[in-house]
Amino acid sequence: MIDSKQVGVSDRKMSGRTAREASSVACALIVIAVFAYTFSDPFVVTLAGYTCAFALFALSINIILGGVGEVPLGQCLFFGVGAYGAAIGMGKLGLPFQVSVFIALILSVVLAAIIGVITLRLTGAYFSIVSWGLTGVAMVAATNLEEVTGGPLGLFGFPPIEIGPLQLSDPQTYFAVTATILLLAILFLVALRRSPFGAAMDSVRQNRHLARSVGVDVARVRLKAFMLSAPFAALAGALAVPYTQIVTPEVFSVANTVDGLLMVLLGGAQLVVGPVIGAAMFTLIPQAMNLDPNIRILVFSSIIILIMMFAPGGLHQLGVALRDRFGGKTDDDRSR
Amino acid sequence: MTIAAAERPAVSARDIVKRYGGVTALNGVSLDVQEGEIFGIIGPNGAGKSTLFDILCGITVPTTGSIRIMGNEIAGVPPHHIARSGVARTFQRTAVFAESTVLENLLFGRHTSFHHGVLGRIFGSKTFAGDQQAFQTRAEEVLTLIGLDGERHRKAGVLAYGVQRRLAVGIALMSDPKIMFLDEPAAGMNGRETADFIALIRAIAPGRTILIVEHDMAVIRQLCGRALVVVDGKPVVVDAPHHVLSHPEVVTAYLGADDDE
Amino acid sequence: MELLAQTLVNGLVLGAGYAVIAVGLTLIFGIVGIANFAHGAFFAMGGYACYLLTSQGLSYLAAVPLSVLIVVIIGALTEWIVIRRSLYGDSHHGSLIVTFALGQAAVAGLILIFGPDPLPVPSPLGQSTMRFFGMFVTSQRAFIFVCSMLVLGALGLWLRLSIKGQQVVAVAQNARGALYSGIDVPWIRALAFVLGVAAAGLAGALLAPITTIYPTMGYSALIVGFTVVILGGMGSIPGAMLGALLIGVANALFETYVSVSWTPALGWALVIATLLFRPQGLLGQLQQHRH
Repeated sequence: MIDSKQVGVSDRKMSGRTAREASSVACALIVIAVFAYTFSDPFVVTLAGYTCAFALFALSINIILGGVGEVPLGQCLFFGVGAYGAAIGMGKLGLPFQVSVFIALILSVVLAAIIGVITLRLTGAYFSIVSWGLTGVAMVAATNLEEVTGGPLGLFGFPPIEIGPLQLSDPQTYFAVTATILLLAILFLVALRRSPFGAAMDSVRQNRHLARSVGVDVARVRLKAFMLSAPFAALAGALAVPYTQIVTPEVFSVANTVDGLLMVLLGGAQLVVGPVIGAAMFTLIPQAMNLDPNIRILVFSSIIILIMMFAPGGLHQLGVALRDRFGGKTDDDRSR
Repeated sequence: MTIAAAERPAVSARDIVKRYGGVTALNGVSLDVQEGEIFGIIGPNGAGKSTLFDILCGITVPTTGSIRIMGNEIAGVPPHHIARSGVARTFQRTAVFAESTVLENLLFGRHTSFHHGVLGRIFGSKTFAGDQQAFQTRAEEVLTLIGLDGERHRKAGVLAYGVQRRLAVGIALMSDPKIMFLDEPAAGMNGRETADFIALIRAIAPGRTILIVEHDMAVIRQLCGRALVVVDGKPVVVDAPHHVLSHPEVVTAYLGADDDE
Repeated sequence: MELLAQTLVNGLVLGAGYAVIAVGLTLIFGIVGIANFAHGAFFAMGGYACYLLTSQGLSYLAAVPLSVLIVVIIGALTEWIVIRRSLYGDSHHGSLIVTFALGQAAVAGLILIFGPDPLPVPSPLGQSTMRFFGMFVTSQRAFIFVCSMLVLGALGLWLRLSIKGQQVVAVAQNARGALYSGIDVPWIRALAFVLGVAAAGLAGALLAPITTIYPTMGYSALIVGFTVVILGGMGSIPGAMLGALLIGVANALFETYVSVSWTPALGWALVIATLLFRPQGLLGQLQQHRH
């Protein structure tokens, strides 16, 4: 029954895809290296490093939004766990940065498991609201538990942050480290989307009931996705610390999630690198134009409203639509 | 066990009652569907047919009553486990994965039939690749069966409605189910599509037990050996379609029913 | 004993304010079918409209209804330009993101126009206190309570007695059925949205003198509104009122007897407990399973 021609085609497509990916990875590495060693303005390079860290957070949001189709308004909870984990580990316990981060990642997964069991029974607005609410609880806790968190003033004055020989206080090293981690994360997520688990997430996002009827354990897929998203956010939070140099209860603010969400929606939720493109736009354009942060929110929120009204798939979808119309190319783009 | 198989009904329900708050959606429904039978469930809108379907395939838990599928009690079995044990269903409205291609729609169930480690899944171990191949083969068979061979790379959402319904049946067929639940499969189809659809069901029927909820009496009459009529959550009669449709209570139920919707 | 009574009174007043916010939210959820994440922004707009009008020399009592009118106009425009166009489509979280982004844009706009700092809204009732049965209530709080009760009562009567109100109820119960029986469902939805945000604006104008106004004031209002609505049952108006009173009183008791600094977490503890043990909320209807 197997149509051998069909298999051949898909094989060829497969190897073409792999080659294309290998070349884009190589390009990305070169860009990272060139950027890190040619740009000397420490401010720009540090900001680029922070953008990479924050893009990780956007990726985490998109595991939930683009993956299983919920809007995770509480994702900054895990971002905060990572930031506080790094800060408390280094500042209070005297642990090395990477050990603190590792502990924070484990913690975030455990926390996601506990929270997920409660909140993932909810869908749609309920899930978003309750997860948002939990970040409010976290903010209250961080403000009140002064012994551990430093209270409203937060934690600051860390020893120089380093991973082995890599000094994260050096802008170029910081950028190289965050960019490389981001690249690895993207590769992992690309592989994940193509895996059966990626397909299972896709089926859950498109139609829970139908997914269940073909044997997908919907609750389990959602919980797994949530637990998978948490350490990405925590890692982002931890990698933001070398840039911010301070961790306050404000990390649990919804404003953080908003930034991440805007990045995802700008770039498009159905593309793995969409959030990264969004993050770059979100940071670079206002930086280049020297925009007030509030104008930035105003402009990007308005863009989001327009996108949702006219192109719910994000700018990527707009691009595809234009290409289909003018380029005449068929829809065999499986790069998502 | 196997000796008794002949008398053992494929689907058997006893005294199903379902209440939502103060509303009784189903009140004492029992049925036995024999292996290989095509069994219809009919009744006016809001009579509880969909609720009954949801209960029979384990999505909704009844307030009281018991359901056996192939002799096994299904209480407490998660719906996706029931789905994996050879029971498939289609849905009234949201029938397909609209954003995926026809082929992808068929393949969504693939990870359910075999289990591999997370790493094996992501990086593609050898046995994993073999199973993928087997599933691909099955998908080809189903594509031919539902007549969508030429549409495999089109997005399901852009297909004509009747074609989407065929695809929905195809999705259900992927696991080669022994029992199929079809929820208003022909709703909204035109005459030609309905005729094609009846032919499709006849083609897949051998070796399977099929339960159909349907408004189109022509479909019931042409396909089903027996039909159950549910009115206001209560079973009225089980008989051959032409007997059922002339049953006095059924006639009053249909003619007397409010024209809701 | 006196402290307890005083605390309960404070809780009731607080709850009355919450009820107005939450009834608006639950009305929009029940009729329009969206969780309005921009609700807090309309609450803040009510406060800022009130500030703007009083700073022009208008008296507070005249400013309150005018503020509501301003919010009604903004709400109607929002509904007409954005809401009705963003509900369609297969992306089920579209309306959530759109209303959320609307709220963000509004908050950013308020910061750009008025600055990030808190501003006072003077009220002639601000300083004086009244005595009821030996308990002290500032006149402003009494005013909030009375206004809330009047508005909620009027809304209840309108829904029950007027034709339009009955149509709203019909749409909430069965939108398709309502459409078939000749009700102009899109119009009723627009009406419900505007009414809902008007309630938020009213609450903002009422609470402005005691809380001062600041651009992000809507976040806490939105969060309180959602806790109340989930606790009471989404879409249920009596549920929203009951939830508001419960949370108002619980917050007041908790603040007095346990801890002020942990109070903001209390509402969520209640919500999570509710969702675990009674997912449909106190007075909510259990959703029948639908595909």
